[in-house]
Amino acid sequence: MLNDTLVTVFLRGGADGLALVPPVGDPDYARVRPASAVRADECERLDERFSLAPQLAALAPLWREGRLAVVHDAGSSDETRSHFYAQPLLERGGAAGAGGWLSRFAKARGGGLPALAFGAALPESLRGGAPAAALRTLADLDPGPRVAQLAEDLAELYAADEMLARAALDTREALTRLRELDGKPYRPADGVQWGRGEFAQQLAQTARMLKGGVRPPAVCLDLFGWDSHVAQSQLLAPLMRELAQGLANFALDLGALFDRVSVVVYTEFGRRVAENSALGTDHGHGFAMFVLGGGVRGGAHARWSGLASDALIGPGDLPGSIDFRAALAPVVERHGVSAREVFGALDEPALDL
Amino acid sequence: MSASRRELLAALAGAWVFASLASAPAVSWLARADARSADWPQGTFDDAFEHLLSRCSFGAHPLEREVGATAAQWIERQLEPQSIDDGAFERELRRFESWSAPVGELYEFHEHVVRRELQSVVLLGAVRSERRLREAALDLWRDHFSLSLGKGECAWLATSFERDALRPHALGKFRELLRAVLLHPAMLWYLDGRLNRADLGAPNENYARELLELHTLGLEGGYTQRDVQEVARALSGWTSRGLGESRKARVEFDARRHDDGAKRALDVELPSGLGEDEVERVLDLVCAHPSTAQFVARKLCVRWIADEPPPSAIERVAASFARSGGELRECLRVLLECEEFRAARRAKLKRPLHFIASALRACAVELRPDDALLEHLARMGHAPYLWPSPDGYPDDALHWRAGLLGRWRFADELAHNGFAGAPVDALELVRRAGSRVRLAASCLGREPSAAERERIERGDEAGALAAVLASPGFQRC
Repeated sequence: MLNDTLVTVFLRGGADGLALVPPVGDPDYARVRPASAVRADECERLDERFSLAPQLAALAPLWREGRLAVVHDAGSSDETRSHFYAQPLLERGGAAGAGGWLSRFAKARGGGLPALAFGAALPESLRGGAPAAALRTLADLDPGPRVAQLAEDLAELYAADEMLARAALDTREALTRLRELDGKPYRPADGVQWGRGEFAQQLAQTARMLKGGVRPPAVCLDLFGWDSHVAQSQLLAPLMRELAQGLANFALDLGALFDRVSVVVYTEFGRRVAENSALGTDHGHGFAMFVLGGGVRGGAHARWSGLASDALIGPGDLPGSIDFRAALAPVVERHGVSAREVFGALDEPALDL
Repeated sequence: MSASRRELLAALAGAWVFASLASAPAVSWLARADARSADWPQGTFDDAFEHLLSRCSFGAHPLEREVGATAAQWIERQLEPQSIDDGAFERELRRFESWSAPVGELYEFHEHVVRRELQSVVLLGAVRSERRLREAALDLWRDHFSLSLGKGECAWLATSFERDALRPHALGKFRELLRAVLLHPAMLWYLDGRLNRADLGAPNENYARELLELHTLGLEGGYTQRDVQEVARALSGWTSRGLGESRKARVEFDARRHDDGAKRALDVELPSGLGEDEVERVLDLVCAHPSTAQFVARKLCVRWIADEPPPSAIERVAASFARSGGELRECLRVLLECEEFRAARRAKLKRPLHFIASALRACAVELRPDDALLEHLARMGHAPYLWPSPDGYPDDALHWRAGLLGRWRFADELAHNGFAGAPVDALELVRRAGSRVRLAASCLGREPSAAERERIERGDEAGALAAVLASPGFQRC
């Protein structure tokens, strides 16, 4: 069975892959990260090379169940190390892409509902040819009683219009389901305690919507604050907990429905391998990605060449040895969308994840 | 005059038709001193005239009907855009600083600013320009020669592409339009023409392929992979200066990058040594090809007749293209005067830009494009210059009919005066129109049906206006 909804989480600011997925088995790791390196015994070990950051411990159960795929040292064609260049580059699906890759995905996926993004405006990834809506809360998605009434009042006129009757009926149904969600108190699944933070609340609302039968082709979430030039360990610890706790709750709250969604976590670039003098890291290149959800084969995917200086590129960055699109390709295929349609022809095969 | 009395007079007028009032006056109806408050003309609708306004001009403005042109007069006038005074629109364009910047200076603006201003100009033109047919043609060329702001430096260059390549030639000669597009830095970026050089191995075929497949002969136009390669060789050496260079955005021919050997493309020999002039030979070759006449004719007919246009209409327009050497004015004249066009009234679904522009025009809005309006266009999946691939936003209803919720929200918000950049006073519009039914008729360009009337008479004026704009009748053109 095909997956319904693709959820993306963009870690804005350039999330450090070496912090998220520390290469505790790499002989150079402790040397290059004297201020922030974690000990192997603090972490969930993924394989002989990698572990999960201690603050991502909430994801460990998903990992052990084989439902979490980790991609290390993913990369794009970005050479600018500029947020404002690299973010849209990633969101468009690479240099050859124009318009957002999720928009191309949603266009191919179709359906009566627009793709959704939490935020004030549409992210670049959803700009393009598919209907899309930005919302801050589910309430924003509900166009309100006036539009709902308008839809009802016009039902008869639309029913008589050969070209638009079917589309109008689908839209009215989606609208009804949306309005049913709004205003009712929400009871998450047993054992799920959603946090009060914005990211947790957006995931909670996504879960609520999906469980309420509203299944848009894509939902975009942003988690801000990863630009860790200064005091990285202190800055990233709460963010990583927020990310892991949110995703773990999302899986738990959705229950069996989690097998019908895909979740992708990515960022615009990773960070410099060496720490700077402010105990932070500067803009780098290769980064880490997470993929969860229905059909995902857990495991760590990497073409790891180590942290020695001759394995790094430019000012001392991970080379980005796996095209990030090769990690996204199998995900879009699970929704019945051709990866070629979304990303064009890639130079490397899709990852088996 | 009371509304009921005006309605009575209008009813008594019977067969009196707006459009046969007088010969077309030269005065701009938008520039009229009382354009904001004048009562709208009353009368019955001239179907042929309404069809033109609805299909080929982003919808009717109520006062436009007072101009009193017949369909034939409107076509003649609109086919000569230079003869139409568009001063009011051009003055409004001055608010967009980047719009008047020379191409090389566009880089001085922030990417978001140039994008927003370009998209604002597109929306403003669709609503406010009096060169109605040219605006409609522009919308077609934006798709035919689609480019997306996401690629390379297109974000900065697209403003000049719209202004300097598309606008001057939208109703001109196809060859000149194609030449302006081919040698524009935005297109050289978008389809990698600037990287097409023969001195570093095989040339880059991207532009040559799309030139043949999407811009001229069409996918089934009878060219081969070999033709693509030969055209790519012929166009090698053209490049444009980028952001980091002096004389930014300048288009240049670099003879060292050009493959100056003999070629054979589309069954024609191109001798060696043509150099910079070879591009002119390629333009002649593709423009004169019979498949190009067919392909462009089909594009025009899909846009203005039907998603699946009758072959007879395509043949007629293609013949006009071939006969006139690609004179777009002649093609359009033939198209707009053919029986197939007249028979296609209300057969197409408005695309989102058309829907929004026609709603703003029907409400006689004093438009100031802003982020809220552009955001609606983006949410409906029709933000100008953001279609992700070089084939342009689709035309077919199948693609667009999924976006009804966005249309209903827009209609509701507009009618309830929810846009600072597009103020609407529904009560005042009903007064100017004469009654709710007259307002609906003015929006629809026809008398509303009994079912439509029934809906319009319920609730308050804003709700009634929203219902008209959200109704299926208003989605069609």
